[in-house]
Amino acid sequence: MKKLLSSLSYQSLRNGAFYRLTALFIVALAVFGVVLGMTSDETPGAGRLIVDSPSILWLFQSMIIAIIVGTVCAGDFKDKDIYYEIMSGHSRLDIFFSKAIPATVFTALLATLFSVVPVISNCIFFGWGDVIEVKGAVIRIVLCFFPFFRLAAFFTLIAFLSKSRMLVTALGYIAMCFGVVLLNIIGSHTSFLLSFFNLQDLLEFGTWSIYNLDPAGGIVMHTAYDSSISGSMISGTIIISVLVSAVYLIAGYGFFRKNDLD
Amino acid sequence: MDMLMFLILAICIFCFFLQSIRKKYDSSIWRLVYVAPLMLAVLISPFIDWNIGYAGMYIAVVLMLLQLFTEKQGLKKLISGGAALSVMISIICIMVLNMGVGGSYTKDFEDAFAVMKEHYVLTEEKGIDWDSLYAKYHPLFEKAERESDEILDHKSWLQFTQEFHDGHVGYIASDYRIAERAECEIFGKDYGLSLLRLTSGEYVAVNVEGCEKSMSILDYGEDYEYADDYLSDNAESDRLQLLNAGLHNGSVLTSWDGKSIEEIEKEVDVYAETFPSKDNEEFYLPMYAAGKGGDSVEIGFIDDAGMEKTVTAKALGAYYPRMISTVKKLDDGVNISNLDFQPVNSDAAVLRIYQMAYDLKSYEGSDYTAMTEEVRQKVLEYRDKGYKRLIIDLRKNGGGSPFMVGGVVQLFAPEGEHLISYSAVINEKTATYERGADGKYVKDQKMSYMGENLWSQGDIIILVNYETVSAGDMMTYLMSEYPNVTIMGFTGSNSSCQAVTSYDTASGGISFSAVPNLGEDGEMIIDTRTDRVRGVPIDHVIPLTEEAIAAIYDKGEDYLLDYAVNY
Repeated sequence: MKKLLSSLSYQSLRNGAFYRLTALFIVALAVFGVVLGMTSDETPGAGRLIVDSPSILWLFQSMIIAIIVGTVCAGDFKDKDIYYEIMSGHSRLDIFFSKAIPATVFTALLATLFSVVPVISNCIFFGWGDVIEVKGAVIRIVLCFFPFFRLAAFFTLIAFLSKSRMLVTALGYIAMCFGVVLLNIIGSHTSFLLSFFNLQDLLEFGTWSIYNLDPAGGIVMHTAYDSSISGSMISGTIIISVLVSAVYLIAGYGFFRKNDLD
Repeated sequence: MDMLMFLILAICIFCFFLQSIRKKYDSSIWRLVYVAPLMLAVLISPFIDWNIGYAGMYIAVVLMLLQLFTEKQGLKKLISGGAALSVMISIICIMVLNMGVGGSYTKDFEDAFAVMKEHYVLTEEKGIDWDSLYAKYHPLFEKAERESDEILDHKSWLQFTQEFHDGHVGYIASDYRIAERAECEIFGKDYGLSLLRLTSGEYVAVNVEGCEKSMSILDYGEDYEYADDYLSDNAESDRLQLLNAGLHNGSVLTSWDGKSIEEIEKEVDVYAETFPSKDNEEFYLPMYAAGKGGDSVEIGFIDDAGMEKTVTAKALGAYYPRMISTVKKLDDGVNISNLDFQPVNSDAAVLRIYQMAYDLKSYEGSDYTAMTEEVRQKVLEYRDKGYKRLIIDLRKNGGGSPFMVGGVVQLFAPEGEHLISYSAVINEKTATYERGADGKYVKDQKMSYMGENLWSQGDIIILVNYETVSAGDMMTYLMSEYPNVTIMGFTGSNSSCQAVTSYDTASGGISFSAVPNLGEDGEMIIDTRTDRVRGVPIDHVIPLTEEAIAAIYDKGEDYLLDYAVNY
């Protein structure tokens, strides 16, 4: 497995397309962060960006997760490298996990880092603001690693089922396009099983709005955001992500271990 | 989603029966079949809330995946069978036992309770003991959830919200059908009559089935979709049972099911409304008692000859529609447009205000200049025509904008500045209101108005009832200070005036007092305290007499308006 891992890292680190893609996402997310600050109706700030546009922190990541996972896990089916790996004596267990583990962990880490990009760019231009506390936001963003990991594990399963990089990428694109639509259609939910729901819940701050009666302005609203995060949200995110990711990865391996490679 | 569960079941059964006829080693297609339930579960999961009823489906998904790791056909068959059984258990739990179908009643309660505990502004004033409320009601919601009992859930919400004795604390089910069914069951059976207590202390029958102006079980009207479902088999043939026995509107009742009516009143454990003041609750209590009993009740009454008689009244259907009809006949105001004037005779005119709202623009702000000018012109017109009495009908006024209240009352107030109320200082970090060292909310902006005293030549009578609430309460409260104003009604107004907010749960929504309105002394105005004494005065309680009952329930007259004209 060690050789397979070093071969994968060698291959990936010399992949110019990966660097270009990463740079593109960083620039796009940074620009989004600034533009959303400029167009905000309220006093802008990174805290305001997070509470007003939480999907900017996770929606686009499904695309990059799909592209990278698809390339790492399904790319070798197309160029037949996977045959050589099997013929050279590596077990299917080693081959599967030498692709799946780096792909899921790396893309989840990358996606989590990308979540910070619009926040940082917005913060540089507009400051943090006083809407939410930095600590609460950081904890929530760090926890996004787990649903991103689950999403990556799901794409890994799809990659080994379909052996098609394009299909995985297409699924990532569909997820990106319809993620918010799906959440809006479904509305309230208690299921953490879908990564998108979990991500949305993590980045949704508790709010309370109240008003006062102003002789000049009439009803004047005040909204406070609760930066704290419940223990059940933290443990639920971690436990369900680990369990569901394990099911996806084991299912992927189970399918691959005896699968025809024609 | 149910279809997808059946599809998972079909796949499991398919695998179970076809294991013996397939090749020894699985093809890729076969292996995809083992993964298919997982994919279907992923498709289902966004559309279902987590509940234990689906556990069988998820176990089946994992079992099916296990088949990827064995080649033993017998074992695979066993696993497929186990998975099929597991999905079947889920289907039975969800579709037959309705497990979790009613939603998470407990979580709804916990969420709403937490919000109220944090933001209800009358906790100290009303002496709310949150811990004991939680201890009392949490088990009820747990039971409702365990038994998927939407009726118990609804009843528990009504009971919980009534603990606050605050007209602004209420619950509305998101599904009106559940609400109607629950209310048809909660408020008991209809024996063909409702009850009121006269000021003299006697209990009388009202809204008796078969009387000309009474509600009839033959036509519940558009407001009730399910009331017919509760009608007994012999409802039509039994409907005139009371009239035939000589019991009609105004008959004095002496007993109910072998007990005194006071004893039956003690059995009432839930209302359709909230009564902040104790005297308002006592006024309406007999009406609720009339739904108590089994399939039939023995009713003792005094007949027209003065003889005590009993009649066995069989249940006709659900009592709720008759109870609401009884309240409506008693409490509806003059049926003209909001802010409309109407002459009653050559001396008196009525101004109807059933809500404190003028138009959307003014409702969101504070400028009611246009409305004030419109009302001012009418007031001057009636004054110039020589009218001496203005009756302001605030019955069933559900409230609205306090700025509109200011815009109306300024026309009648003695000259000079008058206070409406103070807002309270907000802690913007927590969106809560600051209390000072003395425990009172800290006063912020002052709302006031300048009196014009346009009706000084005559008197003003304000008609109220317990449905005069919120800004309706506020208008009554402010005008109670004016020397030429008399407030009257069978009961006082509701006595709930702090501004309201709402919180939505999956099964409905609660409203509660969340914005303090303060008086000069920093105390919250109007709302009742722990003693449940009304916060808005009533100058004259109109006696509920046999004459009033006959006028309202036999002739369909507006007795209160006539009373006010002749007062």
